[in-house]
Amino acid sequence: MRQAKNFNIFLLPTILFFTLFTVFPFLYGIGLSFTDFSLRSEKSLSFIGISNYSKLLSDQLFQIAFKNTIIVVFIATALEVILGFILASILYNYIGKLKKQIQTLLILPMAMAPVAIALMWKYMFNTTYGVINYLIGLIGIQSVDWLGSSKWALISVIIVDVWQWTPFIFIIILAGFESIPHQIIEMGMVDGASRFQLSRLFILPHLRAFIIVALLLRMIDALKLFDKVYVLTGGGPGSATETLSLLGYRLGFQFFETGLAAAESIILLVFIVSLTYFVMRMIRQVIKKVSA
Amino acid sequence: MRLKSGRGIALFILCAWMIFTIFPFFWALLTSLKPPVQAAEIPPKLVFKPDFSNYVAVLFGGKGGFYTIVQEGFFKFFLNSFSVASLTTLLTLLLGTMSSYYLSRTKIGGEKFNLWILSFRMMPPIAVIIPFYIMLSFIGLVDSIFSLVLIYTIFNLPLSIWFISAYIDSIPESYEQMALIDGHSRWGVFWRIIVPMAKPAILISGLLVFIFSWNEFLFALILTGFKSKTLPVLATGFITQRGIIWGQLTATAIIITIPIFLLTLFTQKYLIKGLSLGIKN
Repeated sequence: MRQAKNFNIFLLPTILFFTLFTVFPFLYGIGLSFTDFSLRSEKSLSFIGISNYSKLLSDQLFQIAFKNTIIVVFIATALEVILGFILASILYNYIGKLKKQIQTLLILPMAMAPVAIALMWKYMFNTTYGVINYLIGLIGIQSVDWLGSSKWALISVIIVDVWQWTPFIFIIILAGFESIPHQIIEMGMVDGASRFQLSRLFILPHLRAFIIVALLLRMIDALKLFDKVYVLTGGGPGSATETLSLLGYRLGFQFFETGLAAAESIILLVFIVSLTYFVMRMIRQVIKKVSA
Repeated sequence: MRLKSGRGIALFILCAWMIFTIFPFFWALLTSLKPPVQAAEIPPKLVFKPDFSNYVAVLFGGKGGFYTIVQEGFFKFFLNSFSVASLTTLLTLLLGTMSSYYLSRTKIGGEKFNLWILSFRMMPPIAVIIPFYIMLSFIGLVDSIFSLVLIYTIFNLPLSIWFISAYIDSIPESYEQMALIDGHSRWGVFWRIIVPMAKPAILISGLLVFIFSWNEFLFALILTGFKSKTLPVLATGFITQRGIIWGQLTATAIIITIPIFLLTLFTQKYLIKGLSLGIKN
């Protein structure tokens, strides 16, 4: 009995820590979202019900941020899964020697500070002396105002996101490929199964769990997109690249509408949770259909 | 069992992606080594005499007539970043390994625990930063590296616990049973048996925590002021009203990425395991 009590001490600090620094702030944040609290003003806060929420939902800037976030999440995640899968299967199927080295090179972007990366890209995207416009100029394509035009800014953000995070999907799917038992494939080959049959019947079903995990984690992170947009475009031009996280930051720490920002971040959280739930359900149904 | 057909096109795609991956680093390095006036030259010069004046300006301030936003001590900010990352790593590993040991041996949590990890991943930083900021200003911890250490530890603990506890699960309990019967305390068993045996998992988590803390931006942007600024926050300062100082900016970007670059090279085996989340089943 004494032993068991002593043992509890191993978990106690973590639990204390979490209650103090996550449960409490989180509840506090929910509370704030129903008030007109501002970090800058001296006047005491008052309870204003759900008016922060209704104000946001009917606000045009919020709607744009919402739309942009969805566009980035879906396009970037889709591209990353496709490219990551292609790269992983190339590495698994064709590369023998040098595999470790290539792998290390490919994962470099995801280990680097998003801010540093965004700064590098910002320079390359520059309209007049950026190297991208120079390179496409060499093959006769006209200069593009990558970050300054509302048509291209969001695409530029997606390009940088795909560049940085495709390796994440790649490395998880590669781990999936490498966990395929060799014997089964060799047995299949001996029995005369074609590569295509093997892929359809064995390899893809085996990889499914890996792809789903990678996709979900990536999607959740993309929903929180902040640093790259902050550095690349600051949400502009106009509101062309405004995202939900960026808007929350600006409401809270540039306009000092703290209550409103709290409400905004709660909506973002609810959105992330429900989208994750929805996608997980969808995937489960697809799996059922495929295996039926 | 390597495929033969389609090899050409596969290698072509792979090489193209590798060039795409490397190019921004290469270009930033190139620009950072150009004399300041050449950074904005089109067509870009590929052959030039390397010049370290951008690095000098960033590291040692505006000596030699260069305009720079880093008026004093780049090293102070470097030290901030380094202390935050190291302290976070130590605290996370200590709390993480202790809780992992407990959770692994008592089997409390189970499925629910995985859900908790996932829910943590879903929590957008912006949702906790406002209350956190208010709390911290209340106890006077804004603009202190300790506030960053606290919040980074919280955001890293779930994944570390998940990682380390999975590893401790695979350590047979019989070792510690014997030691416990011999009269050793849990604490002694923890340090003498569990920590040494779980070393690989602890190392991998530590690596990931360090990288996360070194790179993090949103919390640092809001919670740090002049005293405790970290490198990513410093770097965004190069985008000023007066325009962007590209040479110094790329030099800063290179300086920020170098430590992680070296870390990646020396620990590639562990890092790849960690980044693929150790998923094997």
